[in-house]
Amino acid sequence: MHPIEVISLSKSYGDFPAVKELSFTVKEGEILGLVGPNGAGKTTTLRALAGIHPPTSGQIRIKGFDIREDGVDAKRHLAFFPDEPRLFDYLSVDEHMQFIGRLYSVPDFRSKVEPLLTEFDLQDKRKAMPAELSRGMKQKLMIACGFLHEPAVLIFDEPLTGLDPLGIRRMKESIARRAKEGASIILSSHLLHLVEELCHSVLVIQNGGSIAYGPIEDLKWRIAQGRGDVSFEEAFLRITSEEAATK
Amino acid sequence: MTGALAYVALMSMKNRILMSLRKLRNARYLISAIFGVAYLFMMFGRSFGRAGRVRIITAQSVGTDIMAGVIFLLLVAVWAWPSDDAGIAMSESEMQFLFSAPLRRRDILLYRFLRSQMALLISAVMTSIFASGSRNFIGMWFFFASLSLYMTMVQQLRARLRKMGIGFAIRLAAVIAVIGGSSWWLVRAGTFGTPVIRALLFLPRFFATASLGNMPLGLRLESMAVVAAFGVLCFFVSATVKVDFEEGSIALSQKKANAVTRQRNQQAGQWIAFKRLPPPFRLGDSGMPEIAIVWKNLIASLRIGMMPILIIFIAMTVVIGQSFFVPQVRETSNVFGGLMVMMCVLVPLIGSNVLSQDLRLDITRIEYLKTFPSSGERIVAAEIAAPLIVMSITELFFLGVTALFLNTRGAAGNIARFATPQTMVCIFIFTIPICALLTVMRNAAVLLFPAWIIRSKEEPRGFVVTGQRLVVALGNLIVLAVALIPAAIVFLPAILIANRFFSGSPGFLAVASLPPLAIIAGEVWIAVRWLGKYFDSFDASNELDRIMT
Repeated sequence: MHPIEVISLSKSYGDFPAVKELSFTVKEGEILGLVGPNGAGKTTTLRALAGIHPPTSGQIRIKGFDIREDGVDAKRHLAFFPDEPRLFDYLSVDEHMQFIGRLYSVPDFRSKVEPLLTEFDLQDKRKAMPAELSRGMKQKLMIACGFLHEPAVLIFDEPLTGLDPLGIRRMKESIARRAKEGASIILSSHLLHLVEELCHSVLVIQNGGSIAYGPIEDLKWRIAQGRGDVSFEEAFLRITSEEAATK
Repeated sequence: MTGALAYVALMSMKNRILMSLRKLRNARYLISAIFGVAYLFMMFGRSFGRAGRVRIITAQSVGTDIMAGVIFLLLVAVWAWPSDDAGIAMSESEMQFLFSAPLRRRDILLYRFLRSQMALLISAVMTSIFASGSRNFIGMWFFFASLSLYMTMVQQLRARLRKMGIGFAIRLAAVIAVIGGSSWWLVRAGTFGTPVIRALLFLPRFFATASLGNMPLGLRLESMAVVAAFGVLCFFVSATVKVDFEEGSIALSQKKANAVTRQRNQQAGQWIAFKRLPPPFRLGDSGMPEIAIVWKNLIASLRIGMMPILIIFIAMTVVIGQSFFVPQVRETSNVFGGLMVMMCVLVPLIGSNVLSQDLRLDITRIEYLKTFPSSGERIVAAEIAAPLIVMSITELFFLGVTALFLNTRGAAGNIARFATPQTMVCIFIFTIPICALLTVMRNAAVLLFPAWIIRSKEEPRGFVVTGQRLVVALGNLIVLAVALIPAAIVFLPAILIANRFFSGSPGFLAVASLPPLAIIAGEVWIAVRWLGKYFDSFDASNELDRIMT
C-alpha cells in the first residue's frame, strides 16, 4: 500500500471532462511532479486529491483511506497548499498556527510553532494580521500551517509563487527534507527546472488524461530515443506537442 | 483608433448583456430574474399609474426654477471638491491596456464616455420613473451624460488650478462666495425673475427643462440640444487642459479600487473593527478539534461583528441611564420597558443577520474548509456555534437588564407580565433554538446559492440580483414559517395540559414550552445534519471561480 493511490480518477464539470481515467501512486519519500499545459486538469486533480472536489468516478486513497468514504481519516494525513493562499483575515499569524494545531489535534502544538515560524522567516510576524503580510509571507504562513501536523501526504500547487529567491531556496529545502523524512509529495508546477530538481517521478497530463508517467530519467530517455541527452523541458515540450498533433 | 475604442466599449456592453442572458439558462438565475422583473414591473406599474395623478414637480415654471437652482448649486459646488487629481478613475485592465496603447487623451475620454452610457441610461430610466413618474428618460439621459462630462472637465480644471497655485481653500472660499452671494441676491429679490438670477440660472434651466417630463416637446428638444452642446464643449476642454492626466488617473483608480474593496469588505462583514482584541479563551492542546472553528469564529465575531452590538449596548445603556433621571412615571417606565422587551424579541431576527461570522464569512475559503479533518456535520455545527453563543449572551444580557428595569421601575399592565423570572427564562430558552434555526437557514442559503450571496467584483448588478435577494428573503420567511408550524401545533396541547395540571405553579411555563422547544431543537439538529451532508458533497467547481474572483 502506497500513501497516495489514485485509480481511474475522472472528474467532469457538467459535460466537460476535466480529468479522465487518471491512475498513479506515490511512494513514501517520493516526490511526484504533476505537469501539463494550462487547462490540462492539474488543479482539478489536486483538488480532488485534497477532498475539495468530489471525483465523478474512480478512487483516491490517502494512507489507505478512501477520500470519499473515509474523508476525515484521509484528511488527517494530508496537507494541501493551493496556489493562492486564503488565510483568515481576522486571525494573526500566531492564531493561525494555534487554530491549525488544535484542528489537527497536534500534541503540544505550541512547542512546534516557533521552529516552523523560524524556518519560514515569520518569527517577527507572530502578531501580524494577513493584511499586513506580503503575498510571499502569506504563502509561507500557509505552508507553515500545513507542516504543523507533520502530514504524511503533501500536495503543492505552484508552491513557489510570490516567494523571493531566499524563500524559494528555503521552500525547496523544506520540501526535499519532508520527502527525506518519509512524506509523499505531489508537486504541481509550470517551473520545469523545479520539477526536474526536486521530483523523483513525473506525471504529464494533457486534456485531462495522462500522457506520460514514470521516473523523470525514463521519460527523458524515452524522448531521446538513443539520440543523445535531452533536458526535461525539451522532453516535456516534445511529448505534449506530439500528443497535441495526434489529437 | 477611436473606432477600436468604440468597438471595445460596445462589445463590453453587448457581452455583458449576453452573459446575463446566458445565465438565465440556469433555473436559479431564471427564477431570480423573473422575480426581479416582476418586482420592477410592479414598481413601474405603480409609478406609471401614479404619474397621471401625482407629479412631484407640478407647476411648470416654479418646478423648473427650483430644479435649475439645485442644478446651479451642484454645478458650482463641484468646484469645492477637495480632490485635485487630474485624470479619470479606471479599472486595472483598462489602465493596463489603454495607457500603454498609442492613444490620445481625447480617445481615452471618449472610450470612458461611451463605456458609461449603459449605466447612465439605466439610471436615467430609473430616475425618470421613480422620481418624477414620467417617461422622459431620453432627456434625463442627456442630462446625466452632459453632467458626467462637466464633472470630468471640472476635475481636470481643479488639477490645473492646483498647478497654478490655487488650492482647495481658495476654491472653497470662491464657491461659498458664489453660492452665498446668489442666495442672498435671491432672498433679497424674492423671485427667480431678476436679471442676475436669470443669468446665473441660464444654463441650469436648460438642464432642468431637458430632464423634466412635463415640458412641451419642442422646448425639451431645444434644451436637450443645448445640454448636448455644453457636454461636447466640456469634453473638448477636458481633452485639452494641461494636466498630468495619466499620473492622476493612476492615483484616482487606486483610490477608487481601495474604496470599493473597503466597501465590499464592510458589506461582507469582513471589515475588522477591533484588530487587536484578544481571543475569548486560550485554545487547549487536546479535545474536540471543532472547538478550533468555534474559537476562530468567536474571534471573528469579536473583531468584526461587535460594532453593531456595542452600538445597541450603548443605546440601551443610554435609555436605562436617562430613565433614572426622569420622574418615575408609570407611562414612561412602560414605554422604556416596552422598548427593551422589543429589543429582546428582535435579537433572533437582527442577530442572525448581523452576526454572520460563520459559513457566510468563510464561503470564500471553502476550499480550505473542505480540507479540514472533520465531517461536514461537525464543521457546520462548529461554524454556526460562535454567532449563536454571541447571540445567546447578548439575549441573556438584554433579558437580564429588561427584567431588572421592569422590576425596579414599576412598569404595569401587559408589560409587567414580562417582569417575571419564568417569562424571562421562557423567552431565553425559546430564543436560542430560533436563533439557531435562523442561522442555519442563512448558512444553508450560502451553500445552496453561493454565487447569489457572494458576487464577484465584475459581475453586473441588476434585476437578477434584486430577484435573488427577494427569493432568498422570501425563502427564509417560508422556511421559518414552515419550521415553526410543528412547534405551534405541539404548543397548543402543551399549554392546555399545563393549564389543566400546573395552573398557577412555576412549572406551568416549563411544561407548556418544553415540547415545542424540543421540536425546534430537533429541527435544528436535522437541518445541521442535512447541511453537513450537503457540505460534504458540495462541489463548488462550477461556482468556485466566480466566488473566488
